[in-house]
This record gives sequence, C-alpha cells and structure tokens, in this order.
Amino acid sequence: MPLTEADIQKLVKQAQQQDAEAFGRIYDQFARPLYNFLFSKLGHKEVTEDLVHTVFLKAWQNLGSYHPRQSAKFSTWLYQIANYTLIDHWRTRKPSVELTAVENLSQFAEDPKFYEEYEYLWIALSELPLPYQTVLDLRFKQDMSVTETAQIMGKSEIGIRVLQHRALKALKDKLKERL
Amino acid sequence: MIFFNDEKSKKLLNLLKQSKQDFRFDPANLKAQLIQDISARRQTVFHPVRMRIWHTFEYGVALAAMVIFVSATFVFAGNSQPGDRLFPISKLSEKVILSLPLTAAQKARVQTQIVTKRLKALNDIDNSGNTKILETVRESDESLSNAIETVSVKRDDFQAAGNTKAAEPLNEVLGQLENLASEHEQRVEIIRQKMEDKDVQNEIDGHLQQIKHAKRKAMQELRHEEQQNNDSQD
Repeated sequence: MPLTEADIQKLVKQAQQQDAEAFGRIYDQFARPLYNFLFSKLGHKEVTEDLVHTVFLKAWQNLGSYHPRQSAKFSTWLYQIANYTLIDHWRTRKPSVELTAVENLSQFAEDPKFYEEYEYLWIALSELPLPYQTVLDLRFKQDMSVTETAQIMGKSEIGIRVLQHRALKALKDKLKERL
Repeated sequence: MIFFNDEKSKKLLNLLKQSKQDFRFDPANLKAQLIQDISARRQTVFHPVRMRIWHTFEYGVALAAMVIFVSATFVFAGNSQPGDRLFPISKLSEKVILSLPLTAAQKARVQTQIVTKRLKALNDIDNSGNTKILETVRESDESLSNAIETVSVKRDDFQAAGNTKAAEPLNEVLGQLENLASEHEQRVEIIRQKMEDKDVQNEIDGHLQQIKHAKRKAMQELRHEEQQNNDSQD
C-alpha cells in the first residue's frame, strides 16, 4: 500500500537516526519506480540493479544533509540522486544495449505483449538525447509536475518547459508517420 | 511557447502516458544486499553548526547582492566557470541577483551578462576534460534558452498591455541575445568537431540544436516586432 508523504517523512526521520529498518521501508516504496526510470534508459538488468543500489546507498550516506521542504517531496530528492547517477554513468560508459536492439527490452517487461504494442515508441525514445528522454519520462510516465522535474534535473521551470517542448517535437518528428 | 493542441500531439501525449509500465524486477534480492551494505556504512552526520554557517553564507550573499543592487552595478561572485568547484556558488549569486526586485530591463541586462559570461567560459575550455566541456556547453545552452524565453515573454506581456516604452529596451536585449546566440553556436560547433568521443559529440550536438533553436526564436521575435511596427506605420 503506497505511503503518504507524511508517512515517508516519518520514516526518513527515523532513518536519519541510523534506523536501517525504516530505510528498508523507504526502499520498498521507491525501488520499483526508480528501477523503471533507470532501466528504460539503460536497457540492461544488472547495470540497472547496480545503479539502483548506488542510488540508495548515496541516499543513505547523505540522509544527514536532507531537509524536508514544503515545496518538494522526498521522492524529488531521490530522483535527483538517480538522475545524476544516471548522467555520470552515461558519460563514463557506453550504453549497455545497442540502441537499435531496444526491442530486446520486451523480455524484461512485466507484460511483454503490452510492451510489443509500444515497441516503436520505445525505439524512438531511445534515439533521443538523454535529457529529452529524462524529461519525457518524469513528466509523462512518472507524472511529475514541472516544479518537481525542474528540481530533479537541476533546471529552472522555464528550462523544463523549453526542454519538454523540444523533446516532444523531436519525438513527434521521429513518429510522424505513426501518429 | 507553442502548445501541442493538435490531434497528433494529443495522440503522442496519450501514447507516452499509456506506455508507462513496469519492468521485471526482484526488489527483495537487492534489498538484502543494500541493508547489509548500509549497516557497514555510517551516514554523513548532520551538523547544526555547519547549517548555521551555510545559512549565514546565503544571507551574506543576499546582503552583498542588495548592496550591489543599490549601487546599480552588477558584479558576479568570483570568476568560477562551469566545471569549477566553486561554480555552484557563482550560480547561486546569479540566482540571488535575479530574484531581487529589479525592473524587467535590468533583469534582461543581467541575463545578457550571464550569457556573455558563459560564452567566455566556452572560449576558455580548449584543453579541459570532457566532463568540464559538457557542463560548459550545457550551461551555455541553458543560459541562452532561459534568457531568450524570459525576455520574450516579458516583452510580449508589456506589448499586450500597450506598454511599448517598457517593451523597447527588451527588444534591444533580444537583438544582443541573438548575436550572442550566433557566437555560442559557432563556438560550440568548433568544440563538437574537436571531440573524438562519439557519445560526447552526440550530447554536444543536442545542445547545439537547442542553441540554434534559441537563436531562431530570438530572430522570429525580432522579425515579428519589426512586422508589427511596419504595419502600424502603414
């Protein structure tokens, strides 16, 4: 059952007192969405698991410097760590899966048939620059607001609107015959 | 900002939302390893004293920015450039200055100075590593896009309200930003051609396209303004 933001903040306070069990519950809440966010760009199960592990480890180590704000949920902070971890990985290593072999992602989908229906969309997305993929994922798949997306990507709200506009245009250009 | 109101765009947005799905993942497996690892590591301890020092620093930056505003001179904190350790502090001071109660024309000029600073950073990165180059190019793109978007929107607001006197200096700034965008474009193109790493090249190319888009937007806004002036004189 999903936790409310108030519940999550309680767990964070406990985890900040070195309560590993509380941190484990935070992990239960956010591991899957973070995995989906990272896997859609990496395309490799083991690499994604490594990065999810890295994200939560960084979160644990830096929990002391996390301060709740009215304008941002805890998940925003976690996604920020995930985004920067992804960017660092993307820069230092080549993508684990050839972009043209994205159709292999269907074997990793919970529902392969559902995936196959949208394969052409996934292929087009994977051909976009990473910031475009990220903004579209956060805004339309993770249902983040412009404010949350701006905080996660370290940009201004205007910057996110501009980036989103460009990303959608680029995706639309790739899919014009399909739409 | 052009909004996607046509049928194809709406279809695309629906497609994106519908394509949301989970990948196969066993969270329990990873959790066991994570709990083992965190038990062996200490958290960074929260230091109230360090927080007070940070807040004092932030207030100090804000106070310094107020002094700068009163003397009507805009000087930015330090010479830090993208990729430098102190660059976040430099960026913070820019944000603080832009959040002060300046007129639209003053803010537009501040943003132009930021864009000029980023151009200087682009010219200075010849022998830097890929990480610094990418960050500098990204900051160049972001500063241009933000400046052109903000100034255009503000100018349109003034024009819609019939305040041509306030809109005029913003047209001048848009002209300057268009010229700066050309210089940014040329410099980033040279940097892109020198890159041997294809991934880095592709990422720079993404930013280059955005810089070109920002330049086109500035040109269109200025042409639109010219057209409106010609129409009103006829």
